[in-house]
Amino acid sequence: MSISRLGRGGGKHRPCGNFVRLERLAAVALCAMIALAPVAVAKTLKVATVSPDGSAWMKVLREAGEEVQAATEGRVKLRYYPGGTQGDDTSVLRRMRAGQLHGGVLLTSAFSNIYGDLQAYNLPMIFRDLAEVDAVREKLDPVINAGFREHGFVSFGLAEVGMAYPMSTKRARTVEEARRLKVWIPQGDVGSARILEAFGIPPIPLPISEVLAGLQTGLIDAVTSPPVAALPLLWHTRLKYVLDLPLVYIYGTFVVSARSLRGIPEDDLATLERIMGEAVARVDRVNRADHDAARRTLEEQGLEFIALTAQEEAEWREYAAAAARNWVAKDVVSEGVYRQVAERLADVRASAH
Amino acid sequence: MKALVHGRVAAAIALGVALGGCANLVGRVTSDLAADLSATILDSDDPALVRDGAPAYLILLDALLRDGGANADLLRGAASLNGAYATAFVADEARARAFSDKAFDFALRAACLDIAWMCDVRRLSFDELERRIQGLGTGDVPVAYALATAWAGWIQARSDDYSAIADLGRVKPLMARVLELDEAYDHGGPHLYMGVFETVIPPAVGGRPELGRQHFERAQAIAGGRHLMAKLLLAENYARMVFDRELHDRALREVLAADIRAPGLTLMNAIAQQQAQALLESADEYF
Repeated sequence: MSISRLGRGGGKHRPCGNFVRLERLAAVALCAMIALAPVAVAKTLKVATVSPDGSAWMKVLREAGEEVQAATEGRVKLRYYPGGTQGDDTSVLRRMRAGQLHGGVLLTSAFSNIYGDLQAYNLPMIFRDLAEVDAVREKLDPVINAGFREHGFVSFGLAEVGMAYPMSTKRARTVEEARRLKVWIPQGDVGSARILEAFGIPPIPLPISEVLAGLQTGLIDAVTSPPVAALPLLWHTRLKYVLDLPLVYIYGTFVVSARSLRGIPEDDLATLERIMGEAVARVDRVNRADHDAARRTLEEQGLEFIALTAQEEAEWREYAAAAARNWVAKDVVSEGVYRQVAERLADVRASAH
Repeated sequence: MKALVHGRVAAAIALGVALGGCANLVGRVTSDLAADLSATILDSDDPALVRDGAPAYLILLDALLRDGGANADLLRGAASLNGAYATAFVADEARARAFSDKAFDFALRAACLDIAWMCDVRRLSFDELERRIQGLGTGDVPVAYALATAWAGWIQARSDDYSAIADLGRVKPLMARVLELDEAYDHGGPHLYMGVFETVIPPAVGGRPELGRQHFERAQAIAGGRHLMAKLLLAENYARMVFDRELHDRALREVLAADIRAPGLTLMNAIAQQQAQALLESADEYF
């Protein structure tokens, strides 16, 4: 049920009834005005995510949902479908278009064909560390979030997943050595394919559920993954090496379709955006702590972090820079947004020296 | 004054010697007591009675094991009771973590007494761990199962701690080996745990809940359909994950309609019925 029972104005009590009987003109006029005003209808926003129930994400989102409901006196409610019960990110987007769902907590890759600029931070190796991420996001997040509206979505903000590192069962340091590995990408993931293509590494697409077995049998011998994903999927039990080279920044967003917000009074809309914006920001901070903890855990579990020499790293960066130019040339990311990211990075790096 | 102090010291020493002399006897008696109490508790059909009565016994076990007790059976009994009590009755997260800590510590000490390499089970490389696990035989099942269950409880109490999550990579192969050696152990318990492990990750991000379903159903079959917790977990972990309301409600209604009495399962079945009611009541909210 996307629209539940009438909120104020519905139900058995009809306070205007007695006034009308008194035949007091003013009262009648007042009641008429109330009747003509748009009836505030309770709106339930149905939101899906692959995050499991009980995860940090879900705890924060549920609290925020209750806060929205209380602050809008029940006129806006959020109903969550966690744990991927509505399918993967692509299915959630499809259901949003069909109006079966109103929102989703999705990774950026889901939007690769819809809103390219959302992937501005996904450019290979664009950030050298998380401090650079923070400096750029502080300036650019508002631009990226605002851009969603042109595509019919409202975003409550971006939330970090973390840096994805190349992880493997065999030792590899150079681009040349990496090309000899059998590197997994998620089946159907255009963004991941594009990243590997940047380095001339042939990808092996497989469903994510087959990765652990694939690492065991040797069908694949490398993945590129954020530490927070590698651990729950138990990939750390097969992997031996982590190339200490943040290859790509992974993040998600909480969006709702603009259409689903129609009919919500402006005040309530502002309340919804404020509370949900704060919730996503909170998740963003929690996820940073998780990312650092998960990276430490990988080390504690005995995976060897391979540090590159300046020369080796420069070679990887050369390929990455060429790929960024190529992405912009093909308009995967618009030149305008890319330039803003690059300029901000140049400022940060200049002030660091 | 001086004499009085001396007198107290002497009395204390005497008491200490007396207790020391009794240690073996106490150990034997308490081992049997632990086994009898566990059986009685597990056969109880009154969760409230167990909830209120068990803490006194848990404190007694703590006291007996305080000075590095080296009785593996007693340690295992204490691990199992602490873990079970926390899972069934402790809602407060911090207290649940403390209980699971104690249970895991007891289980690890017990395992280390019986199987030397298990002293290092948290530090071995994964390759080495796998070799060791493959070397376990049928006689090792009680030791390995007790360790794996206490460890799983410890992880469950820390689901947002990545070093705990990483340990799942050690517990899962251990439990898988127990299942291989004796799938019917503890009324199909290895299947119950494997079922939970397979329903942690949603399919959209790499999980294989269908395997979980098979484990829950196998546990049910092994227990002759009397394992209501297996049916409850089928609803809670599997049906909710795949969004199958029909299966969810049907399984829970069957749990509520079933006779809870079954040797070794009665208490758990009674708890399953309580939880089934709560899950049915929240179904409209979830689905």
